[in-house]
Amino acid sequence: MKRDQRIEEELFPFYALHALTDEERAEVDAYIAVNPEAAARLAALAQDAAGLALMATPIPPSPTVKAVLMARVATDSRAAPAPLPRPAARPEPARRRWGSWGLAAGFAAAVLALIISGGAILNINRQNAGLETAIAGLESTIAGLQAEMGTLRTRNDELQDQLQAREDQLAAYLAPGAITVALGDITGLHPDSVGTLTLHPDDDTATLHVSNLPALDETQTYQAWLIADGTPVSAGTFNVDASGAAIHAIGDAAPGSFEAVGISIEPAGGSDQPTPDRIILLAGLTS
Amino acid sequence: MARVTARDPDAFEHLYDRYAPITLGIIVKIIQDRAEGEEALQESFWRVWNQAATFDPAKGPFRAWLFSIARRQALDLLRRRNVRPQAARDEDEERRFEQAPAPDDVGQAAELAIAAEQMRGALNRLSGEQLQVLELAYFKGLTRQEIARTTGLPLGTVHTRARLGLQNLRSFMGATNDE
Repeated sequence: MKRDQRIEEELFPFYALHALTDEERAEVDAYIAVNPEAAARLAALAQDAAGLALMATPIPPSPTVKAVLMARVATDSRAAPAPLPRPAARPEPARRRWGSWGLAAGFAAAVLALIISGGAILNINRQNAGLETAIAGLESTIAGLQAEMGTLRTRNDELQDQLQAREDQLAAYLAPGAITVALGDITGLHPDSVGTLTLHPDDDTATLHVSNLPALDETQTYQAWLIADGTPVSAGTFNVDASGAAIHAIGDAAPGSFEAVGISIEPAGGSDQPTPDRIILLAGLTS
Repeated sequence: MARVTARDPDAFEHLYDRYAPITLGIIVKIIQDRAEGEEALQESFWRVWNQAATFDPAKGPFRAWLFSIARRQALDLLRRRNVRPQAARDEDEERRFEQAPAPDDVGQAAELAIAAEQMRGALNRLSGEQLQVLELAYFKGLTRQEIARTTGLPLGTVHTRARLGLQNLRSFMGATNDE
């Protein structure tokens, strides 16, 4: 075939340098397709042009590039067999152009999916942790409420007992023939401490009610006294509850058989005679 | 390279260690950006890994094939960045390299360094005008018409300088080898 001087002198160098337009390249391709000698000359020229790459100064890449690349290779070599050789026919340009970017995009999508799923798992874990914290808080609140309920139940029992005592006291007051006298603080040290003694003439017994008395330690006790003809006679010992209240029954307390009633603080087990400066409540009975 | 074709990661790593610096140098010379250059470098080697089976050592040295892939990656980046008409993208660039007659690839880093040194020596002997045209075409991806517009030279002068530049390059390389 006749040598085309224009193509070989004007287009061949830029073909070798990859600097032709599509139309120009097509023209050269068509020319060498039917001219093997021209194709050989072009190949030699391309080899010369390829050497231009060595003009570049080597630049060591950062280790990250290799790390990422080898990670991709490791994943790929485990997941896929070796690809088949590319067919001789020229692939569709757009597909080739974006082929590697497509792979990169696929890889990036896979990584993104892992990141998103990992993020979702982290989010769920975070939510679980939050719910567990909330549950622990609720359980603590429930335990507190249960403890408070127990306290209230105890307090309610105490109030029920006090109410029952008041009702008993009221019943005693209202009983036919009952006589009630009030006991008061004679020391001035316990102004809130009060008491009543209700006499039951039908059986010659009496009921002593006290409230707001000071709490005593285990070495002490309260002792009731009926004073007849100036002589104190023990009417028994008793202790008060946490509120300082107590109900103490007294036998042999016929009306007119004593002229006063008193309460003193004595050593545990009681005394034969009231300690003079430890009498805190006292009431006189007048006929 | 045969081991890379057989999907041997160790062999691929060996190739990377040997050729990555010069390949990154080529890319950075084209796009003038190291960060983007490293992305293109990774994509270039990723393509080598995935298309290793298409490489025919009988048709040319591995490095020529690799450099053409890297150059294309870099020029793609350059085109996307500049958004301006450029030379047609040569889709068969690698195969043309492969088809070109070439000496045996000795596969040694020293050989690569020697070749690079010889090329630099040859390039130094080119005239500045010829070297400029070759560089604008190879490293900037400009068409011959764009080179004419960029340099203000007549199109015919651009043709002449490119043709003589490549001829001299071959001549000087041969002279270097003979020395």
